[in-house]
Amino acid sequence: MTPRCRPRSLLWLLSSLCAVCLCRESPAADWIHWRGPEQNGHSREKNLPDNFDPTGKEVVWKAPFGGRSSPLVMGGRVFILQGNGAAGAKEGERVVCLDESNGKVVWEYRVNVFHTDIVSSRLGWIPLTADPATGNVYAHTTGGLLLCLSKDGKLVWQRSLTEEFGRVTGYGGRIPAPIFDSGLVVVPMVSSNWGEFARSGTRFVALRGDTGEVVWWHDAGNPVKDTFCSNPIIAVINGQRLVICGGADGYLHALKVRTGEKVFSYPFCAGAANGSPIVDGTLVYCNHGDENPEGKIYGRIICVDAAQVDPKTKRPKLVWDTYNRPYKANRNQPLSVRFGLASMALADGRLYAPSDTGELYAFNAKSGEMLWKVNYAREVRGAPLVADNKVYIFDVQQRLAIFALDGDKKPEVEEYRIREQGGSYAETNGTPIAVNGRLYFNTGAALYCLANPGAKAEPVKYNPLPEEAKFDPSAKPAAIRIFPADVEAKAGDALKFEVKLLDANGRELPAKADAVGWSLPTLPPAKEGAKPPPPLKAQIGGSGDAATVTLDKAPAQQGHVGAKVGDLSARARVRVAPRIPYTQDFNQIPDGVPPAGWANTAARFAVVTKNGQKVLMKTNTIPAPPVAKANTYITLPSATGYTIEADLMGGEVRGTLADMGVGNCRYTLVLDGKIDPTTGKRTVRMGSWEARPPSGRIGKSVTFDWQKDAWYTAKLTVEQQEKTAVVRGKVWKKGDPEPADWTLEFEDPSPNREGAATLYGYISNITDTQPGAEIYYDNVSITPNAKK
Amino acid sequence: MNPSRSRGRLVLFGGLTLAGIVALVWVFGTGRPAALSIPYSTGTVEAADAKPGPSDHTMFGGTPDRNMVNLKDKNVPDKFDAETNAIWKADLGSKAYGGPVVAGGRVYVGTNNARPRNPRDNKKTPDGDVEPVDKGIVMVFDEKSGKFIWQAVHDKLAGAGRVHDWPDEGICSTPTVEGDRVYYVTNRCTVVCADVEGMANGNQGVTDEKYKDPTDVDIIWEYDMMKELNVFPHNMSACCPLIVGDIIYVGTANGVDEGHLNIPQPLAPSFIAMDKKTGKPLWKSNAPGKNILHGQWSNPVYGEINGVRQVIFPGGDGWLYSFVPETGELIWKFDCNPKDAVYELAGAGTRNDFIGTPVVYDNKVYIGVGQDPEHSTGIGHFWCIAPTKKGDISPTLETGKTPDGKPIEKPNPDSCAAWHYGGEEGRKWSVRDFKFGRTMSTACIVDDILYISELTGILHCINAKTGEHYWQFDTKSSIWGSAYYADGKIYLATDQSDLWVFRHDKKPERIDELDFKAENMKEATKLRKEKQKQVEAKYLIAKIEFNAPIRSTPVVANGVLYVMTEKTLYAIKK
Repeated sequence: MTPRCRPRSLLWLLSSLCAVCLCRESPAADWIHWRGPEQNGHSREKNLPDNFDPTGKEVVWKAPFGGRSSPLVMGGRVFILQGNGAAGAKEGERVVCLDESNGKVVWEYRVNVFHTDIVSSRLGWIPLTADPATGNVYAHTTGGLLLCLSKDGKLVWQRSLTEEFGRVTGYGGRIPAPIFDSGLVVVPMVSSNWGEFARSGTRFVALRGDTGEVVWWHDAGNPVKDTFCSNPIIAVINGQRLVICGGADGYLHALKVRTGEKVFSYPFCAGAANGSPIVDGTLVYCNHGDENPEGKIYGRIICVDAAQVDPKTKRPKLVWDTYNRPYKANRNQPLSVRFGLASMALADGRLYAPSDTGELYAFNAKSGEMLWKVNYAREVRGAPLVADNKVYIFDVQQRLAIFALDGDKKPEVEEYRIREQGGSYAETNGTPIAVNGRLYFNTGAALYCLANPGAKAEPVKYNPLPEEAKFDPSAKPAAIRIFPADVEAKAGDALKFEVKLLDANGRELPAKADAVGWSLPTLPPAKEGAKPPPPLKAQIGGSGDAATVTLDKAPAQQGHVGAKVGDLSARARVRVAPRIPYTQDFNQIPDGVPPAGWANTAARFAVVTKNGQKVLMKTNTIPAPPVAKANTYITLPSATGYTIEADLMGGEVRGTLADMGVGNCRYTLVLDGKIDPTTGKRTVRMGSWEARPPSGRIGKSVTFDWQKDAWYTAKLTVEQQEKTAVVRGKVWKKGDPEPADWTLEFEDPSPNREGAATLYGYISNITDTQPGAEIYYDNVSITPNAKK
Repeated sequence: MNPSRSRGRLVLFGGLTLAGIVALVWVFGTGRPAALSIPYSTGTVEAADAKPGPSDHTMFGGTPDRNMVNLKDKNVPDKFDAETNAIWKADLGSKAYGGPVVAGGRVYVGTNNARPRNPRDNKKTPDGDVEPVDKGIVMVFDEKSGKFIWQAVHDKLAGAGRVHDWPDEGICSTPTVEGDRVYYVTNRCTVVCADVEGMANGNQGVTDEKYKDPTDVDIIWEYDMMKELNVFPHNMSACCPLIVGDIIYVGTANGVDEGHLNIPQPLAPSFIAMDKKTGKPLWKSNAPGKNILHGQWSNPVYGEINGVRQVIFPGGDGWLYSFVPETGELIWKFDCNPKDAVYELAGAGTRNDFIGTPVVYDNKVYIGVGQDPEHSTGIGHFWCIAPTKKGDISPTLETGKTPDGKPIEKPNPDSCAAWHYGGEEGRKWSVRDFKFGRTMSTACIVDDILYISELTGILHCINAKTGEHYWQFDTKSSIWGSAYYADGKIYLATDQSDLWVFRHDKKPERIDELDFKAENMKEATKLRKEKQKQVEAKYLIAKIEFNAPIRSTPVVANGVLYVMTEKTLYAIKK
């Protein structure tokens, strides 16, 4: 999980300066952003198929890699993230690389899914991104891994966003895509972690493409309305290089790519903004299908002018939207349409917007005038592809629609039913792409490559991004940044930090910062969320643009490193996570505070004094799902070969006990609070990724009639074998002799090789007026497994 | 996954006309238009005629048998322009899934608070914008004029979000009106009995209502199923209450949690019977228990079948359960899924539960299976059950499992399955793999002819006695409501804002769209479309466009056709 190396690579610096953007400077024969080289769903390919028969001559190849997203094409290869299709213990998610010419598999990289409520049928909904300069491919998996894979399918680095940063799983499998630009991988997410990030928020993290180190964080600061699945784009507007994306707060956000500084944001949705934006010049388009903040009707398309941002509110000027504009075709009323889960396309001055319910609208993109509307489907999640004067778009219900465009006139549309071999019902949620004279798309069962028989791909040209403002090496610094911006360290480490002077575009200036005021600050208390951690226990040394922070021997802590250059300031986050062996009896921790060094713990768990005993308590007053059901992540996710043991006690509220447990390497041992109606008794279960009933990817359960208000000891150990892992758990009443036998045991043929040690709690009966059942934890011990 | 609500009906309105929406004022400085202030009636409007009408539509389905028919009204409009032919229109919230119900001169609708009728129900943001607060609303209008009379305002279950009380869905329960009382289930998983007069005639019953303006609801009693019964509603509580005698029957919505596999409260009841005067529970059943697949949003039905009085609940496990109305003693149960069906939260799943409501007609029970529309369509089944026996009257019995977990089954000697439509479609030129897809709809049966629509937009016409399939018509749009019969016509509304009107035929022609011989798919497509044209020419009367998606059932009461789009209630009369 931790980055492999931390060199200040020249390549990375150069790529940052030169603004290598996958979207524009890649060869024309690549399709790296899921919406294409211009990030707008418009392919400039010609002579594409105008009909589809799954067994017809237009099928160049077909490969059994179904999914819900769109493929990425780079350097003669096709890449896709998808559920691996296996049932049971082998089920997972994988990046598959195929030969573009014949669909043969070149390599695949499979990972397990874990710590998520997303079920198996929703895997693979996240588009990939890539760096065409290195050939590296980046995948954000459903389990929260961010993978950097080399062009030959080897892992370069990975981060576990859930275990490290408290990233929250998306609802129903819809998770925003990462995007590569300027040497960085930017990942949007909803997260909550520690310190100023304890509160749930829409956040963006930028990681170095070559090492995975954190370069910046952006916290949008608004309440989270929902999880979201807007996929970001890169734009240059007013000479500034931006990443633009919808947010879980219902805003459209535009940030400087290299620093994460906010340039503008625009609130336009009462829920989460799930549409992916499109940029044309200075105009930015986005869509949503939820309620509007002002009420009355749902759904909205906005067109804002990012060249006219109000300096006070930081909101761009609205050019038009469907909420206020009367539409003649709609009896001079605004549109009440769910432009929600499918994104739009822009081509030749026309904006193509699919509704969730199966109508495709075409607008004059400049004026917002509606040109036509065609009913073509019942249920739509994929976005339209405009190519070769046609629109390709899926109905989820196994149909591909192909529109024959005719300028501003209402087009004819043909539907093509897709019956997969074997008669299985495979939904079509994907988004087609067209590159190198070919059309690619995913159905639920397969990846298709189509072309007109005999057609030859012609070179095509795409519009590059506008030029950025000219780089002036002698410019006065507009901002500073500390690198790295977020560090996971161990006690006693000597951490190196640098201050970078940046121009208004976030580009690094050659001048070195001198007279840097380095500090170990405490943040002011937030309006909501947990108390900020105390200053780092460390010595800070150095001057000029580099500093060394030597952590003291405290086994676990969190805090910040600050830097000031004139009026400019920046800070970095440091987490010293517990290392194995580790014990925690909570006796030294004040009430109301989470243990130091633990991730995803603040606001979810806190130390209390119960009957004179210091214990950790699960928050039982907040019914929001990411709080009501939570893991603390005690160690780093790279922990392996250990045993966790803890005392657990459940208190009954309104006849109900909660679920409580411990986690080890992404397996969880749970004392289930509910009574099985068949046996009249409670159970203990153990498994990983509860994606399918009755026991998840892998798992077992056994009757164990545990009772309220009594302490139990739970012990979970994972023994890594060559090809498997043996997972063993036991539970006994505290004070009784430890039973010799394991309560539950299984061997996982698709093992989790590592994972943070966790405490788990799930309180299902919290209401808005009444607390739910209580869970207490004590005497946590994490020890290395004995060597054999 | 989206909350699923099958109901659809109408509302009446009063307040702002739609033209008002257009007259918004920009605030360029903030880049956002100023919020509209909705004209708010401070006084109350008395229902012009508080007496029951000759053909009031007082509950989901109109009658306790839930059959979607109106056999009384004549001269119901079938070709009209929605905007110019409406005798009145009423603004609702941005979504409307409850009702409409027409009773005693009033029209009741369940909606959300996207257009607050009371300025109190707005909030001011830190930026100074005025925004409506998300709440569950029952709006009540005057039947003759459409003027707003009163509303029930129910706060959201704070913090629970999509788990229990999906944002902005409003009240999805279709109220049931009986005399001077209206009963409904709130977004907060409570059962409410309220005064049909609202607060205007004083506060009867409980007096601790949170909102007490003259236009607020006057609650007589309210029963909290989460607090009292530990119910864990999945996404939304949406049941349309059933009243038989002095007993009110409600499904609780108990279901899975947001992970969609765990049922946190398997011991909590799925079905309850309460004293309609006090709200006191009389009996309850958790029959589906740990076998609930998802949530429970269907509705109970009452019938006297071959002389046996019974209340039938659709279970979240895909079984129908029939009970003695007074005691809750089980009379029979019927499994509407094949034993080897597998549940998945996607189209590939073959096991289903119920969104549609059972109908009792001619001593038989009719129901189709379905799922949350977020799970897409998939293979479905429609059942006609003639419950002449007791106990398990399913078509087959499961006797065990094979070593790999597959069910072993045998025919059930007590099977009461009369006929079944659905299952796999194996014919060569079929464009899909199954005959009948998942449905959110409730059957409409008249003259022994049954109409049932699917989620994916297909209306089927079937012989209710034999199961013979006559014809089908594809509206090419999702359908959440149901087909409704009145005046010799079938009304059916869709998610793409259209009301379709079909001609009812006592002796329908059999037009099988796959009854042809073709050499290839192109030819098959042409021939299939010809068959579809035959159906259209013979049975389609009109397609009428409305202003927003319609996720409800059009109903007719006292000579007026009510069509409830997601934001407007239309009252239309010839």
